[in-house]
Amino acid sequence: MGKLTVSEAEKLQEKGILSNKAVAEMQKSGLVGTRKRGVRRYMKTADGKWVCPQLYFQGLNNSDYSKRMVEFREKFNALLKEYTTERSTSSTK
Amino acid sequence: MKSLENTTVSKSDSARLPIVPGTYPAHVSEFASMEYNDSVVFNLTYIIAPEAKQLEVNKMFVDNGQLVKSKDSEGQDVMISASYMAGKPFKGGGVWLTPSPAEGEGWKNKKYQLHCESMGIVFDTNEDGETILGEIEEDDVIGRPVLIKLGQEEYTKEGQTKQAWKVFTVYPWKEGGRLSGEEIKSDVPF
Repeated sequence: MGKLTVSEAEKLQEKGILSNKAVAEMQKSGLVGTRKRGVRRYMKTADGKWVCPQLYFQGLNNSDYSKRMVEFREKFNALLKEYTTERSTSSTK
Repeated sequence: MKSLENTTVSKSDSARLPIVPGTYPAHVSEFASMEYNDSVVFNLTYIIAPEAKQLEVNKMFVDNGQLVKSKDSEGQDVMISASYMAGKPFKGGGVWLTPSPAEGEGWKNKKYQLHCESMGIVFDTNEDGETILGEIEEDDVIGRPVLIKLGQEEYTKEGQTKQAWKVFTVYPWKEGGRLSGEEIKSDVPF
């Protein structure tokens, strides 16, 4: 079962469809994500196709990030900015 | 013919506003169930609630079969009220229940449990804290409020790729009120 993104939940909350309490409950039960996704960034393959690098901690499940994981993510994001670019359209279909 | 220079129709001026994917408040409006082998599959239909008018969606138009966002003269997305989505019915995917699953196959009913709980159905639990499922019937679900995630599904028929709107996921809508069967029928605009 897919999760609602933070921005979808916020939009529903702003428009009065969901209360703050309902969003908090949905986050607690795992129905809403807990962090916002950044803008997608892309780089090109050797043959000119756009690809989007991802950082993924396999096996994380519902565990919390450690300090070293946060540090790793920050370094990854810095590298991402250095090597990639935003595209005007985000469609990869 | 007399030319009307100031009367133009652009690509983005659709005769009818197209359906836009997103998350909408809705109510369960139809219920169907069928037995298949040792399982039961439930097919539910949801009708978008009048509260959709509180939401804003991108104004879109269809160009070469694809949904395209309308832009204003400054290149910004044009947002409109989702009120036109209210009253539209959409089908969900099948929800499967496997009564008396074999040892170690209780996971088969996890999606059913989550789906029912999203509709506000409360199941009993046993002394071990396990959920004791029940088989839903029409009266248990009709009119229940949910949030639906609406999207387009592609499928192939007779060699041609087609698209259909489908409810992919349902979420709890605690602030929504349950409607009676009569209210649901009166909401359907045809």
